[in-house]
Amino acid sequence: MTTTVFNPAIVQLLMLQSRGRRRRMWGRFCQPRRLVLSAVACVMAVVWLGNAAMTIWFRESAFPETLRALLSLGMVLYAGWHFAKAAFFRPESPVDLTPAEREILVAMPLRSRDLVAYQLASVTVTTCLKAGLFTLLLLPDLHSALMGLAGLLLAMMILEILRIAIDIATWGMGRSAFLVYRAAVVAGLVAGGFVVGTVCMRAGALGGQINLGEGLHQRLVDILLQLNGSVVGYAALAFQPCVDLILADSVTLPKAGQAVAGLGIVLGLAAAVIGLYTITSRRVAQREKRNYRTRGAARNWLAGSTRSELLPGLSADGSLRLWRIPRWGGAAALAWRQLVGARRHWGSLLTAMIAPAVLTCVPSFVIEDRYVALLATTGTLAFYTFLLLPTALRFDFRRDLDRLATLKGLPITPAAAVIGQILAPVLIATLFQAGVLAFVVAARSLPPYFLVVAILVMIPLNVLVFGLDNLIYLLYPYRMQQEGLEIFLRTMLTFTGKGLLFAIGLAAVSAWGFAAAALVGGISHRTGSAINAYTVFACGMIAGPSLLATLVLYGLCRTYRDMNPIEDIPR
Amino acid sequence: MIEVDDFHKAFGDQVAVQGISFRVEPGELLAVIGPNGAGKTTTMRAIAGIISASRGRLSIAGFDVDADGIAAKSRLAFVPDDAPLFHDLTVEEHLSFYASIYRVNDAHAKALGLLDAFELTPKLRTPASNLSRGMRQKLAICCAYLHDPQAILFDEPLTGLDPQGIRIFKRSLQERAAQGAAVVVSSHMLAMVEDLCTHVLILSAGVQRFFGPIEELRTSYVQVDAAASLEDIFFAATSS
Repeated sequence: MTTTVFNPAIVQLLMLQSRGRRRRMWGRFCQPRRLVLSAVACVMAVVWLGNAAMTIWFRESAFPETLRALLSLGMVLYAGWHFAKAAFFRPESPVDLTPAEREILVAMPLRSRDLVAYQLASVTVTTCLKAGLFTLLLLPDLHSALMGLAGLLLAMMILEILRIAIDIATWGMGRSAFLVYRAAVVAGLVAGGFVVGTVCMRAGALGGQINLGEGLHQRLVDILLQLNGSVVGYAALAFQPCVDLILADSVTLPKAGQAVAGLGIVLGLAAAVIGLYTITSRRVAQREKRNYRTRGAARNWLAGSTRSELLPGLSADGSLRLWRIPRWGGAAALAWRQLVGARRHWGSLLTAMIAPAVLTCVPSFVIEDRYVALLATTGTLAFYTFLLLPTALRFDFRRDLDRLATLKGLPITPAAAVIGQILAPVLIATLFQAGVLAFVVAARSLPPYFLVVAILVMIPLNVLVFGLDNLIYLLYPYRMQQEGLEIFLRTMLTFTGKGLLFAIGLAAVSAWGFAAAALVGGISHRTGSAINAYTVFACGMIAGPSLLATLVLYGLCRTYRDMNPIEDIPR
Repeated sequence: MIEVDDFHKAFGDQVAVQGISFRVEPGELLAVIGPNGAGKTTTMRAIAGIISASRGRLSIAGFDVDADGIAAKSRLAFVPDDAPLFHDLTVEEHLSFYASIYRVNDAHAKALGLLDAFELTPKLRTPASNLSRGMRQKLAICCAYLHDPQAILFDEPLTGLDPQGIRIFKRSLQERAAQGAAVVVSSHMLAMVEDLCTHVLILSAGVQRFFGPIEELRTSYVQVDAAASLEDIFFAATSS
């Protein structure tokens, strides 16, 4: 009897899914309601690709050593991220399948290696695309595009297999083993931070004021080279064969052999991951049986006790505790519900906000002038809020795709539904910003009213940002767990669009700065009274985003009202 | 109480429902039956104000669903087939949420009664995501009953319920109707329909085949004999 290495149905399923995705993408692209935004997205894609092409063809090639340091450290950083992520966000299942895939595939007569192979195959497809794009971006630096592509593909595959292996391993760990793993990761992070800090201090990177000229760029490059030469460089040793391939001068027989050997290693790692999954799932099942036996013994020992004593949760004691939620047209109830959801994830929320909080505080310690330092921190916060924060705070329409019909069935107006849905992320974002700003104001001994003004500027900005994100989401709804080319393009376009909008916003702020100065000068000249230009500027900074936020909310209300939960929601 | 007049619904070029008209008075229990794709869920969703009508008028307690949606929805409860609850909220948090949205004054007493009736008291602090399908359905029914709606819509209500749950649910339906609610149930369980409902609406391919009291059903289909079951009549009605 002959058996295939993998079930051929897995490959067939991938091909059919890919065809289905293409069909769905095209169908959704052509929906009349989406046509305008689809056209905008296309224009943005052209702009982005044009920009990327210009950047590629007109930029100077990097020095080989700089590129080597960048690639090596980038890969170490990415690998470190996978380790750290698993330590704080433990995967719930070993194989990254959607709920539908899990229900269907796991129930099918497939071997466990088929399931891992399915994931590996889907990861390979996306990695090929990513490696291709990355090769295009590095074209001026590569002496041989073919070898560069091979090296990048191998490196990215190793990283993906590492991620899958970490997920499987952490899923299979017992509680104590996982705590040890987490402690090891934290120790590793601290040690890494210590090394990086030492190198930076030695290079004098944090001393004095930042010079935005040539000096800063060179200093950062020097730090990177020093880091690569330090103990951090040893961590990148595993990736050196791939980096060598990326930086190869031409396609030679030894290099081709190296690539083939690399491919062999990747295949070996893939096989090892499949083995790891088989062993881990077996061990998890054994552990469950062992634990159940232990608990069974405890249950027998306690058999003399009454059932209600043992299982207090099952007693119907009628201790119902209903919350008194203010209604506010239904908005408060919806916001309360989202905040309850946020409370359930407070640990991951806090973890996600520590790094940005530290990063946004950096300008306040680097810049000498305390007023400029506060301005820089506020600007960094605004940038972070605009670009990244909405991804971390999805306590709005974005996690209610399957509940849109329920929401629309509630006796509340679209305006109340919209306000209620986006209030929670706005509130959390404002609290986060207030915390960071309060710290900076206190650390740099600034008057408290600066804090008040900064928060007043931030509130309409938060409404604008989350309103915009939700508007885009309702116009182009997608499932949060969805992956693949569509989401890759979507993310790319969203970030491009946001980047452009932020740039336009910055230009508008600058223009308003000049206009406010001119306006105040004109009024003072005519009336003879002294008006504070900063006050006028601050008022405009509050009024402008407020006006835009109102417009976005209006658009969001209309979109929500016109949304059809049957036709518009992707299945 | 629930009034549907010349209801049409199209999704793009595809007409899902055309020309449906019926009326459910307080105390009446209407069963909407029909094969898959007949337009039952579409009709229910339109009455609930989730989707708009392409043509026609739908009203609840005299309030037009399109023009006066909030007033209409305030008097209505809709329980879809797979009740999409809020995963993060516990059982009691769900009730708190619905009490706030529907402005229920004596929510505590009502909630206690419902939780007790549907045997959900031991699960008060269990998140909806940890409930079994049947428990989720029971919770959705409790949330629906909390504000004493004048009109109630159920889409496949028995999905996932255990025999005890089915009995409790059936009894609660009759009690609600006796208290003056207009109830619409969409179901494929013809035995339950025959057992509980006072009126029947038969849909097939988006078209209304029959609407009227259940007793009139047999006289309307002369091709079936007097002893024919609802199932026989259903096939006779939908096969033509």
